[in-house]
Amino acid sequence: MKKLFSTILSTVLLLSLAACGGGKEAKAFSPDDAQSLLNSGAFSETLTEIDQTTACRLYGIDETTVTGCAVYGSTGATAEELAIFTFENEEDTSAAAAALGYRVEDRKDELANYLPDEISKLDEAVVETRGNSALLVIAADYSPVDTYLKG
Amino acid sequence: MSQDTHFETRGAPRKNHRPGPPGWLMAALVICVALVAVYALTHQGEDRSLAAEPTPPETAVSTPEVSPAPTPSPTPEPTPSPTPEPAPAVDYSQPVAEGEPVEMDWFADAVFIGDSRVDGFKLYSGVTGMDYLDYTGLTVYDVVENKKVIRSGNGKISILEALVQKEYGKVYIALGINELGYFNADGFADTFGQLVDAVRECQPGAAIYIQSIIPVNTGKCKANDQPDYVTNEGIAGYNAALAQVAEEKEVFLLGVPGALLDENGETDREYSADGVHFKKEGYVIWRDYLMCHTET
Repeated sequence: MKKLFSTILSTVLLLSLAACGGGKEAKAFSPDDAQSLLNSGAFSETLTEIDQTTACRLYGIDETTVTGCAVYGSTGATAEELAIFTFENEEDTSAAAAALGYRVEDRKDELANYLPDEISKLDEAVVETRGNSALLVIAADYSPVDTYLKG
Repeated sequence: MSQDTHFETRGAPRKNHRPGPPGWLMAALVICVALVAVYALTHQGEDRSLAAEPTPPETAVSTPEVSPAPTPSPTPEPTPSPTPEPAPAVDYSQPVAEGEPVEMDWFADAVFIGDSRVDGFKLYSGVTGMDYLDYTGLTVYDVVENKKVIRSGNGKISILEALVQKEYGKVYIALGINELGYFNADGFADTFGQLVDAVRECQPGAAIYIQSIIPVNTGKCKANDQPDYVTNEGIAGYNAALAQVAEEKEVFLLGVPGALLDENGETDREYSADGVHFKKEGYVIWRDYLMCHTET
């Protein structure tokens, strides 16, 4: 019995180690990914592109640190938004992620009384960094977003 | 008939012998006449050539005339320069007239205060050089009461606190949609006047522009469940209030961009996103309107 238990435990431990050691690194975000996300069904309206200069001013991101971006927003009907940025280094990426986090909080304050139905979208908003890239998604349906994140 | 003058021509002359001038005198007379004739003929050209000689010009130096001491003349009064016609006074009761479009750098020293429509203008009009102090759902009451809505570092400040941080040449204000639910155009006008006073205190050198509320698209408002108080009738009443504020406070009033409207005076469906807000093309039309209505 002890021998059987030890065998089973060893097998489970070996399988766990294999799972941890064999997973590949998550793929960094790219502005090129934006279109597939826009077409994924994650958003309830057609979002409008926002140019890089305007986007950086909107979020308070230093444009000189940006190496690429794709930003799309609503014209006012919803809280939905998509932003993908790439930067020179991880320090700039972290600063941008903080700014994107403030964006989500500010939108919650703005829309709490104006568009209360949009608050749930903001509660589930995704703000994530991978390497020198940062992502903001405020969507109507996060299933396609999860699929993208698992990539 | 005397004997002296009667000559008989018939017949042979009678030889009457009276005593005549001597021959040598007659010969001398003939010779003199001949000499005079010859002289006249030979000197005829000289007279002509003498007549053609130009008269030498008078010398430049002339002896000055001695004139009496001049009578002092009175100092002439300077001719007054024409008084420039005063520039026509601005009629603040009327919207700014259309003029030549300005360049995009017109907005370099401008700030736009407003609600979610200004937020859309910020994102989609293409005017990146202007500062924006906007907040979705903002009302004139929020601004006057110093509601803290503008992100500043880790915290937030009010619109007026943000406004004093920089000097502007132009301040645009677009508010009113969110105040329609108060059904109080007079109260709206009174508070808007307080806002203008506060802006003028913050920015004494800036030109202030009040944007008339742009009508909504009624059909899209209904389709998107916009509040029932958002109507074009309400907007017309509030716009009349804004016109009074502009005239009283002597600030510029901006009209409604006609290119945004349909034949019914509503925002055209083509440019309306959800009845209240505009599509990108609508914000571009609004931008172009501002660039042609500057009162410069």
